[in-house]
Amino acid sequence: MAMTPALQRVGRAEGRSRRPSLALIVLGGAIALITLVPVGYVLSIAVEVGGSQLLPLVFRPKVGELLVNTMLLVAVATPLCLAVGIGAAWLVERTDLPGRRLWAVLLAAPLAIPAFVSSYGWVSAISGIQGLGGAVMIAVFAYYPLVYLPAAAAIRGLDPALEESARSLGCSTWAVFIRVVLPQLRLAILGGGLIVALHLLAEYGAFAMIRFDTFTTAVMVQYQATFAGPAAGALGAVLASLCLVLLILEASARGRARYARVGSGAPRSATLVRMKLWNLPVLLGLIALLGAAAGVPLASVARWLGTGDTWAQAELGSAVVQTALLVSAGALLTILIALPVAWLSVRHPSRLTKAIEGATYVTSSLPGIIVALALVTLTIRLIPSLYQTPFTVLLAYVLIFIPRALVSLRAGIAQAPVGLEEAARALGRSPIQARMRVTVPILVPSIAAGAALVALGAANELTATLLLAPNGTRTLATQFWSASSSLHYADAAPYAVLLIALSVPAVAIMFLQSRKVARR
Amino acid sequence: MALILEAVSKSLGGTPVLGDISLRVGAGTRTAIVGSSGSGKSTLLRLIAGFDHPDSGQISLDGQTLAAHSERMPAHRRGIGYVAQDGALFPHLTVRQNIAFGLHDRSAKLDRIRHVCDLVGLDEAMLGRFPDELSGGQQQRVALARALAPSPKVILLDEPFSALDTNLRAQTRRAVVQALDGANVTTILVTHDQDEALTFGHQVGVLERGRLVQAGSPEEVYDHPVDAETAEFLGTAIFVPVTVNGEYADSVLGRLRVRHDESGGRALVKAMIRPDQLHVSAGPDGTPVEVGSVSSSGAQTEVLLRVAGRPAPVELSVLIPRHRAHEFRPGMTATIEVQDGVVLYPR
Repeated sequence: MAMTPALQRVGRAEGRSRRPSLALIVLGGAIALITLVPVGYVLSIAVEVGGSQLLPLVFRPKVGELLVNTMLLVAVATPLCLAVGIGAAWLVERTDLPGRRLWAVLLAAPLAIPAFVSSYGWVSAISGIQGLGGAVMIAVFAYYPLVYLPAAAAIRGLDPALEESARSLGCSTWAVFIRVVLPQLRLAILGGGLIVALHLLAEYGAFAMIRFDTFTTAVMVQYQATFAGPAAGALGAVLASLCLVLLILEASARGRARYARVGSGAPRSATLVRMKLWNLPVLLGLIALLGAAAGVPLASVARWLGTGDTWAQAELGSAVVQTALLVSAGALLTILIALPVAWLSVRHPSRLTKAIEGATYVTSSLPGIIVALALVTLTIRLIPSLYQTPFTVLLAYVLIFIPRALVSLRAGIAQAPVGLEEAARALGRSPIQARMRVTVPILVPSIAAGAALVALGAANELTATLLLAPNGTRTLATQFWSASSSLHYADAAPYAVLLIALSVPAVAIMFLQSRKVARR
Repeated sequence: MALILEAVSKSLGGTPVLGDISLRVGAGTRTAIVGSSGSGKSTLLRLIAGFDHPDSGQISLDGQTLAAHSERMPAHRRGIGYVAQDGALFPHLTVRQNIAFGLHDRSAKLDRIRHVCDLVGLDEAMLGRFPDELSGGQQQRVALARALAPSPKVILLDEPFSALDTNLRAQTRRAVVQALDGANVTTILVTHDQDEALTFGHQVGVLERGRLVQAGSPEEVYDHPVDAETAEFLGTAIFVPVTVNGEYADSVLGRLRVRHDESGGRALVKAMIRPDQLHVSAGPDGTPVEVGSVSSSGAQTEVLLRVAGRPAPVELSVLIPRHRAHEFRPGMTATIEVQDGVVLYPR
């Protein structure tokens, strides 16, 4: 033995991860560059406009007011969303609340009502809703499900043995929740809080409807007044900086925290906390929550629908057709661009793939209005023929919604490991046949889910569509917006119905995906 | 005619994984390759299957070259079946569709499916199910049936039983051996489990850090390992220092007959004894030893023995059938004999 040099050990995984082809790497790099366009735009404002001009644009009373408004909104609405979302998740997952399976679905349902439709529902029912209070209320009812879904998934994934150990060490139900459950939910809480805060920063319609000024609404007003001038750009840069600060805060708070189940054996199902006398007040609370989040907007829409022949509008049909065309093309393009990224990140994980994913993540965290401003500026300066064309709108949809496609596609590709293709080859199939007969069929459902999520998100998209679409474009969202913002509430109602109906399948897919993740 | 590997070497990412592997697997026989994790077992199978290609050396099957220099037959033309550790069943296909995946002849399909199900002992009621509706043992049977269905010349098994629990493992292994015998197919199994290797194959190869250090019949490699490391890897081995004296070696256990000498003529030598070679009795024959403790463990009883040795006493543990347990009491003096001779290694 001493004569033969010992060969080094190599793990199985290393043997499997072959280098991706050059074409795939180049494609991945190009996609990363495209996704970085909005970030580049924000940086270029700072460089181009220059400090001397930028500072007075940023540091003026109006901006200070916007900053206070926006920060207050984020600071108040985010914790409220977290409290409502996590509380609802715990009730559904860990208590013997009557009908908790039904509640699990119902509590996710408000996600199907776009925030600006919800805002319209409230404002057209109670016209006095306005200011910070109104904004917080509408935000909490519209966005708590963004916390509820991941929190429920995380709670389902907790090992009940930890909670049982805590109980045997003398903790009460409440103490177990605070000392054992909550700390383990840290990642879900941080992630959910980030998503809510980013939505708050990005939302235009819901807050414009109640005349509550945030950075996004101000950028929109500025754009309508002065186009993509330095003023809109400066506001946009501050808005984008806020988003980046949030991203960094969340990433640093998350740190290296990992909460994995230690030990072997399958986790048992949890013992449910008995609600006893609490059942009635809790049920009443949940009914009130659902009534406010879904009931009021739906009732408003129904009321306006009943006020006349609202379905007879001439533009309705063309809005449906144009939305369908725009949205399905956007979904197709997004899937086509997301597919190589997802493939690289699952099959050939490397620093490059991490960078590409990071780029898509940062860009999609920016408000749609920043993406839109970036594309307006880029097309006008470099390729004027693309300005206000459907292609630019589609590109905006790709940049905004690519993470939705990535999540689905990555899960799908992970379900089709290389081993399956190898098994097919050992059974006499050529590499191409193996891919077509094994990997592609396994991928189809996740491609469909990803495409649906993108399409439905795009159908609700307002700001980028308003800025980028060719003149005369009518989508459901823009038509709803022009009717409701000019106080033609009845005319807006049919569009609201269609927008909600379109969102239902997307919410169903998100609900099912959050269940699946937890099962693993 | 056989599967032949000649001087096969392979590096992955600049790190050598397999070095100078030569192996001959006779047609219709079973060979088990045993090695610890990272020894290059899976890579060896992947080279034979054609998923990876050797850097040097060649692989041939029945006189036909599978891989040599730039000549590479693609995996799907080799007619070599492969069963992965996790079965690698196609999740989107039923059991029937999985098994039929490698079959082309439509007319004979049903018969063939029925035949391989029969071979692996798979209930035909399972055919309509999806892989996630099967137990681990059933999944492995389906994976084997799928690999057997196109009648490959060779089947490669990559730790196919390691995901199963102990009881199921032995049972599934028996079923697989039976099916392989029934199909009369050349088989290579890789495993990290010595007992599995020794019971599975007509031939056992020992892979250590990318090198095939020994290949032979199970009895041969167990009784006559090439070095002390291999001896320990293949099963419990007791080593005692000895002084060599012609055909005999003297030790604290008395004079031992030398069966094989792998010491290379070194001055300091140790003898390897398998526990089953030790015979303890209350009678007068053999070397006297002190009984330390007697403890029952199910059907067998473990007796701890202390032998007076020169630098320090040597402790031995011997398993005896329970009906003999009454012969021994802690503190008494018993005698020990080493049967069948020993193998010598450098100390």
